[in-house]
Amino acid sequence: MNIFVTVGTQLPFDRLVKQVDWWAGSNPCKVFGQIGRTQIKPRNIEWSDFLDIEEANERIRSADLLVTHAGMGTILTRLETGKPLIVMPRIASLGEHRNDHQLATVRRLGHLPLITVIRDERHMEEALQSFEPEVDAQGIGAAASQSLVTAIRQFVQI
Amino acid sequence: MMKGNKDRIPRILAISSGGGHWIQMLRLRPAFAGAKVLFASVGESRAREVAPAPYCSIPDANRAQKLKLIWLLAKVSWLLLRFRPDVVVSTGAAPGYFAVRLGRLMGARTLFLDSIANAEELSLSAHMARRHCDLVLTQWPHLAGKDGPFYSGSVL
Repeated sequence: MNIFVTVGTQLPFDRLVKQVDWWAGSNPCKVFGQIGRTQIKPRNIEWSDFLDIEEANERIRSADLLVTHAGMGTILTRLETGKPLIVMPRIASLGEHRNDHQLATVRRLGHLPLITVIRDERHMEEALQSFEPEVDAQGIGAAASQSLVTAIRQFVQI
Repeated sequence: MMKGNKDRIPRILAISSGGGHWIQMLRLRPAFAGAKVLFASVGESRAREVAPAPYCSIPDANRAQKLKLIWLLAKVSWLLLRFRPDVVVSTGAAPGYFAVRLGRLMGARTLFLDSIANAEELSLSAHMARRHCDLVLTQWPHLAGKDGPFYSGSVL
């Protein structure tokens, strides 16, 4: 199995990276992590601080499973690819973000196809271990809902 | 097809901060078909995602960074003066607030779409934009109100 981990470039996310790295130490998987400003340096997985868009897209294409923080941009772009993803929210009280909107994100979007939400790092092992690709799972299209597109189109009067 | 305003093609400034705000803007592009659009966000590399439409990079700033905010304000003012949009559309956050405020002063109609990440309360920038914006949209029906913000669907 080929796993691609991303945590964005703005803020560290040690809990997520550390847990995946620990799991990879005893599981024969190919794992690559984009770890951004994360403090700990992984020992069992390949990693990089930052990837350009082309390389990230290539790594997403070749991955079987994606592991990410609950950043909205990350979730949307990953859903477009149709790849399954494990999502773990950042928590403000641990210094992982400015507020807890990522908790709201997983509460509201966790039901979507392709997404597996884990509340914290203690559930990472179980999620990775029990992962099975969804049959027939499809990605989302590249555009907003038709009703939103129509509303904006009416506003701009094209 | 054009409605009213003779044959003039509407000019839209589509502006947001980086990351998720920008990804949501990309998903609105079908709404802009037929218009002349200038995109603006954080980072030069984003230009590739909207080419051949023009793109301008703006400074990354949030409300805790006063000096950067001033620089952002200057850049947004310059963009508005140069491009003269008929409509400003923003998906947040600080750049969007500046753009709808200044854009309206300059006669543009202004729309602020709050991020889908704000699922439990409206963002501060959307709240602040409400007084200065022709239309504020939320992406969650339970956050809509009779006098706005309004709900018309989401980027999903």
